[in-house]
Amino acid sequence: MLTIEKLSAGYGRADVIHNLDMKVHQGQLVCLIGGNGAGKTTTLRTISGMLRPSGGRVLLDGHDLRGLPSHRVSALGLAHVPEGRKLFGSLSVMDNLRLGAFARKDRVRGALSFDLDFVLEVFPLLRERRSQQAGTLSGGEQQMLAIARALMARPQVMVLDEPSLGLAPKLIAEVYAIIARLRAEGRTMVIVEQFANLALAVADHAYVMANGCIVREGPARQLRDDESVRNAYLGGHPLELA
Amino acid sequence: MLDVLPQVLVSGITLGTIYGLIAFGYQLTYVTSRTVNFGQGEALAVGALVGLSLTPMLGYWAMLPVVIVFGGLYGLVVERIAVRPTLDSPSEGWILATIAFGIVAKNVSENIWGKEDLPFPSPLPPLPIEIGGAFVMPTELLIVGGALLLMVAIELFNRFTLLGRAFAATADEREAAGLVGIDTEKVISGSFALSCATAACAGVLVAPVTLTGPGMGLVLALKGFSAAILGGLTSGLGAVVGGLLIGIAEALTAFYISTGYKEVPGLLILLAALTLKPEGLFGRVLAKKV
Ligand SMILES: Nc1ncnc2c1ncn2[C@@H]1O[C@H](COP(=O)(O)OP(=O)(O)OP(=O)(O)O)[C@@H](O)[C@H]1O
Ligand SMILES: [Mg+2]
Repeated sequence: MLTIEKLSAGYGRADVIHNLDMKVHQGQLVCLIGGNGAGKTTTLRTISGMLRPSGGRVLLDGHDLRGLPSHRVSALGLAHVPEGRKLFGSLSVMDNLRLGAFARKDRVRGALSFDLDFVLEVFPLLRERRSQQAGTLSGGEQQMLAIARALMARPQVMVLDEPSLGLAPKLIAEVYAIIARLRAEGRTMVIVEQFANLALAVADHAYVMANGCIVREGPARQLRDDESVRNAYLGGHPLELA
Repeated sequence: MLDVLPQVLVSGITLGTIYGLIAFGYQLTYVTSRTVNFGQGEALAVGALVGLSLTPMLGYWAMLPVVIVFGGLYGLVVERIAVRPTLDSPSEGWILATIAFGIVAKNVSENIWGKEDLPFPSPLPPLPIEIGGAFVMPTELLIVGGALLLMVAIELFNRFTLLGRAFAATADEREAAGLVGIDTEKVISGSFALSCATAACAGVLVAPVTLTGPGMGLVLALKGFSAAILGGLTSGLGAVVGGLLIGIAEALTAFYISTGYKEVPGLLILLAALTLKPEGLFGRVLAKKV
């Protein structure tokens, strides 16, 4: 579904990520883990067209995404939930959701309201707050809305950048319960996470990143039980959820 | 003996609405791109001159929408030539580039229409109507009504259409707008089109009470800019209130003190407001251009 071949990219002259190879199959949840500054966000930004690759390419369902700006990538079926949510803060919750579906070609009434009903069922909190300004939501609500906005695009692949960022453990558990539910529905997802144990617990397959390179990969179950992964690359800071 | 205060207010409100319409135009592009066209005065003058030439052919009322469309096209060109090349770089080159574009537009229009100011015939009879103790010229009503109508139309588009919401989304969070599929470059072009359309429309509206010429927009654009800063460059309502405050202060000073000092109170209000509320009366703080 999503294939990344020899991908390199950076800001300015020096590359920050080097020669990445990754594969995400239909219905799979793949996680990309690594410490601060490893290049995880840069990888996702390059996949979704916010950054131009300096080498290599990204294929989405056979389409070469090379050089496409993010609005075109989005129209091809990739939804990116960015680091720090990046909601439309002055707009209402409903407007954020409607705009999530902006790129859709099937914008007939029925299809949109079907997805709207679906996300409001997954995130019942948003229903109560639908006319509230997105910028005034709590951190947990904002993360829910960011995911809901991406779901409104009915994407083929959804990529999430640190959905746990800045949330209390109880909310992180809620967000991950929702991610597990979406996975069970057969959605294709890529999750970037600093808290490796969280992501490894829900993922099918995992890539470990350090200094801009993929240093390990394998089935999530296998990496989860591997002490050396945690010690060598993840700075040994697992998050314990109650 | 007639009480003159209502009369003075009428002329202040008329001028103020024009300042407000110009300020509204600055606000439109500022929110989407954190840039403005510093050649708005020339866009206004070119709009008025095109309107002057079209009126004998089309008649006044049919000329109005044509001038608005012309202003929109003018804005697309300004954005493409003077703004877009500098948007993705950290430089503030758009400042100089939009000023230069305005100078070129002024020179071209001097070649076409000459340097002299021309009279612009009003479509309405010069028969004053009495409203609340003041005599109002139909032309003044047309200015205020036309400006308000255009601004309300743009606000409705912004608030109630998906495309309008896409403009607001680009203003809030440009990168995320791209991620949901909004072509933010097109949105920014579109905002320049709307902005110059409002300037061109301001030009034809105000032309019958000023005179029409390539230099007519300079002072108006400066006052409009003050109004935009005063109201906050991020709010349409702020633009209108800012314009009215400056217009009314100017009319009061011109009448009760001296025409020579009419610019002073507007400036004082602006300085005072910026000291007390730097983001403007109705403004909010936006992230810097990225
Ligand atoms: N806009 C930028 N301009 C220049 N360098 C950047 C920029 N963003 C990130 N970098 C650099 O690129 C490297 C990788 O950053 P990136 O944000 O991809 O890491 P990350 O793995 O997502 O880290 P974190 O877990 O802290 O979010 C870092 O060294 C960072 O300093
Ligand atoms: Mg990151």
